[in-house]
Amino acid sequence: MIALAVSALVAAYLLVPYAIFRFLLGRFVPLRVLQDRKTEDLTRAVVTLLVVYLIALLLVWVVPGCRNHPFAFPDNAEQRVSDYQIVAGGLYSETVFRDYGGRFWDAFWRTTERQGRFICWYYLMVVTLAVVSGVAIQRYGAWRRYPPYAWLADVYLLPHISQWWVLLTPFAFSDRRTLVRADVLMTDNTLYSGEVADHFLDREGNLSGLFLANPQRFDRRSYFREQDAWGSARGLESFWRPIPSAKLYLVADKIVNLNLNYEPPVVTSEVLTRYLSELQGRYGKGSARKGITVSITPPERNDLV
Amino acid sequence: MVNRLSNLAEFLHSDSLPAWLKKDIEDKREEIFANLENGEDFLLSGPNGEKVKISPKPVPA
Repeated sequence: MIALAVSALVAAYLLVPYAIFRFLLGRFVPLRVLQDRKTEDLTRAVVTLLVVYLIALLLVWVVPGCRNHPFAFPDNAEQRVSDYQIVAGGLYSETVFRDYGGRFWDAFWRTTERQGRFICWYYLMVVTLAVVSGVAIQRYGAWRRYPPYAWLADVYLLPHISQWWVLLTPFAFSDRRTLVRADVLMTDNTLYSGEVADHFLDREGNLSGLFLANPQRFDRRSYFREQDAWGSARGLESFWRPIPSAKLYLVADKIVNLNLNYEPPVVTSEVLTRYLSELQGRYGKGSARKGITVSITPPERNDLV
Repeated sequence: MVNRLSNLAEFLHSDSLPAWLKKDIEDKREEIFANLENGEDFLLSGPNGEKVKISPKPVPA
């Protein structure tokens, strides 16, 4: 009987709330798949629920409305202690259970109501934390420069989410119009290029497929034929052929590698300066020592700012 | 090595530029660095009227 009670408590206080937390958080961003026996996942779950548990406990102890509602009934500390002793004793031993008779059931229902009250507030806090975390994760691109947020994201928020979501969507960028462009080499050496429109994961969290919008295929045969015939070929751009389909689905099993490029609609001087400095270090000869500054005049069209 | 998602995000940002700008820089790389070598600016124009001026860093007097 005691084993059954412990199982019910584990389900009510650990398994169900964490399932609710992940379900709700998963409405905001795709989550990383939990790995069996992985200590880090387990620790994160326990820390999440412990924090929520302590907040709910504080709420029930301190806030007058939460102390008695829902399931309000006249209660005091002595009755509470006595009820827990009776219930624990009755669950532990059948003889004790029989000795208590009707008192056991009175104590049991009062205990159930107390636990039910606490669980209501506990679950409400779980829901609140999931929603707040979800919103905070969605704002990562815009808020990642604020140190306290960056710390929280690193330590707590980002480990929840799928790495494919970071790689294949503009998640990390403040401008959601950023295009993710992929060059995809397949096992048969075909090279495709296009904008990543969507991606799919399997039950283990691995990439199972990729949708490319405005797809193109690299015409390797013509490229090599031109090289063989003339000793050199035109620029690579001449060999990309548009595929007449709105979206091209590529099965992940057939993908050898992905070359990803992120194209925001507007230039930022920070990224451009860093990019040019790297190029300058590689190709700039004497100018590499001098450094670079950039100034950007924004586009004339307002919708691109 | 990228072992945290925040490092990965930072890494993704490192060369995230509009396609036209990246192509322009690649195509005109030698001219750009030659200008910078001579202490001159280089101007790039985008398809929507954006202007990017690349200049050598001023040397402190």
